[in-house]
Amino acid sequence: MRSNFHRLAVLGLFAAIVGHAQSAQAYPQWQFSTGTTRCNQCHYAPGGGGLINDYGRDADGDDLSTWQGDGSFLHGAATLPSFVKLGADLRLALAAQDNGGPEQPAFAVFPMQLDGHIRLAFEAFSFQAIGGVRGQVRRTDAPIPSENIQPENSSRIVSREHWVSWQPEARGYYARAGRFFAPFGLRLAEHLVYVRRDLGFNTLQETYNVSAGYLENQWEAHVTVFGPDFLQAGTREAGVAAYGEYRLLDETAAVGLQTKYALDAGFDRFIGGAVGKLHIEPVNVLLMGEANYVRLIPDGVTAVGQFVGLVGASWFPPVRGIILTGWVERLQGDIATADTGSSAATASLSWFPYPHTEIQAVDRVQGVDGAVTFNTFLLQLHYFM
Amino acid sequence: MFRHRPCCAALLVRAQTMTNQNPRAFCSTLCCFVASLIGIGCGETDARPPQWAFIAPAIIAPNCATASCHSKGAAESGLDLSEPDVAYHSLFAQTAQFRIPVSPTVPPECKLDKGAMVCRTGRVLVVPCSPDQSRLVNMLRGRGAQRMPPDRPLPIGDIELIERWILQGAKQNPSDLTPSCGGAVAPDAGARPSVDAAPTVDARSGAVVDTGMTAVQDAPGGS
Repeated sequence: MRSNFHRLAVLGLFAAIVGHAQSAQAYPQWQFSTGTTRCNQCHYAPGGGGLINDYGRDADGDDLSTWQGDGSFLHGAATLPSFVKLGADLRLALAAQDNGGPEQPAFAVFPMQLDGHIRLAFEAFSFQAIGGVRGQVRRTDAPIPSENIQPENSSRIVSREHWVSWQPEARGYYARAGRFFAPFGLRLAEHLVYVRRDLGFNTLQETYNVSAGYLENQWEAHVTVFGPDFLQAGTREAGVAAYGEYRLLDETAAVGLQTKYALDAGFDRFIGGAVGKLHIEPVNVLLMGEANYVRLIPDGVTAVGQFVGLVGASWFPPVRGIILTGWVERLQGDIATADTGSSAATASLSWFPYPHTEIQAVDRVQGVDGAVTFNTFLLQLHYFM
Repeated sequence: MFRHRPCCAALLVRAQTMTNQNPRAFCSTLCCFVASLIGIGCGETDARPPQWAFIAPAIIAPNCATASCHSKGAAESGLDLSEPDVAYHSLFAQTAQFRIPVSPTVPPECKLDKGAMVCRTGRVLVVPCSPDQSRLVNMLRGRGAQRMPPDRPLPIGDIELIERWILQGAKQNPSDLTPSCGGAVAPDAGARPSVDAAPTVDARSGAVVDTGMTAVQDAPGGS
């Protein structure tokens, strides 16, 4: 029985970790600290994240890696037609956790991500997609619900994002439609941050959207109308989200406001929140914070207020290619009731030794109100091209 | 280290002493909101309804129905906890099926299908009126079973709310006549498995695994 416990624990850890994996979000740490102000200075997506553009590749090769190299596709070994951009993300992970249950700690080494990116651009119009293998797939011999009509092997391949966009210039108006996450919050890349999950932006649960916005160095704004994922048995959320960010202090700081209203199966959810970033140049530290009030309104019963937020700081030491980040998170499941929340303190070391490569170590100490305090460690080898 | 003691009650008493006003007024939403920023929830009393209509969307879905776990797409261990109705069915009455290689003997709960055996399992993870015998609770508490959710266990307040819901019959709707506890907290001894008796056979290895599943036989004419 012990071995079965252990195997289930490892599988559970694996599933839980990859539940937060594959999210090729942007690195908001680079904002301000590298002289950039907008996410789409390095990414094609208006809200950041995903495939990086030529500017981002140059920055990767020249400025962001410990040893400089060629940041272009395949390190410059191949040249693509100008209207085609390709990329890929591969991650191998080692995870260790002790949640206090039987047969803990649990260890797992697993392929975390295998994604391909494609972008086709024709003047102001473009199509972009991410396709890959899920970090977690349902085993063909695993039990499946009799009522679940999804074929047991359909979850092996997944496209997290696929969208078309119209964007005449990097700055100015844009519109896009398809599957992606609405621009919202800090969008940290670290895989053990739960703030996004608690706000309804969990990995692989992207919505289908129509989004529009305006991007400028001084400010940006995004409005997104979203609907359920009807193709991949994903989220049922439908609603609207808006995010606006204003940069100040000579573009070394930003304040953002955000709101979201979503209808879901059995409940509605309203979110109102704020985001702040401040780069302290003398010490090369970027302070970040996000605070959200969530009103969860279940059908037919009492609504509750929740708090979801984090504060953190990233330090860029004099050695190029290294980011040290620490942050503290808090989820309060019901603001009016004790022992309904959890807190976590996380530290991460990201090292970009050479263009396209990243080694990241993350350690998270988590405390659940009235229950357990435990530790999760994640080591990733990440290659992107 | 992160065990937060509710201190809002102390603030209430202090406020009453200082202002001689109703301390409840002091614990306004704003107060609680600010308190939550530093990890404190207000109120010793949990006013949240111990009803499935609340528990499913507020606790179960966001913590359990993540994409790689008990979502509709992944449905780990055959559990789809993504929507209130489906989740309730998953916890109480859902049968699941899995495929295993053909063996010389075909168990009664299995049938041959396309070169493999398709077997059905039954699963009841909640024993109405008896939290201690409910596998769901034992997993949430990590009590003789793998702790769930493994990455971020539930706070004790949420577990206790689920236990209160089970104690009150674990009904899908409060107006439902069944399950009924009949005024006593007693397990339904019917076909529901006790914690210790929870079976069963792992599809891959054939080993006994503590998953809360029980083998079921097809009813005549069933699929």
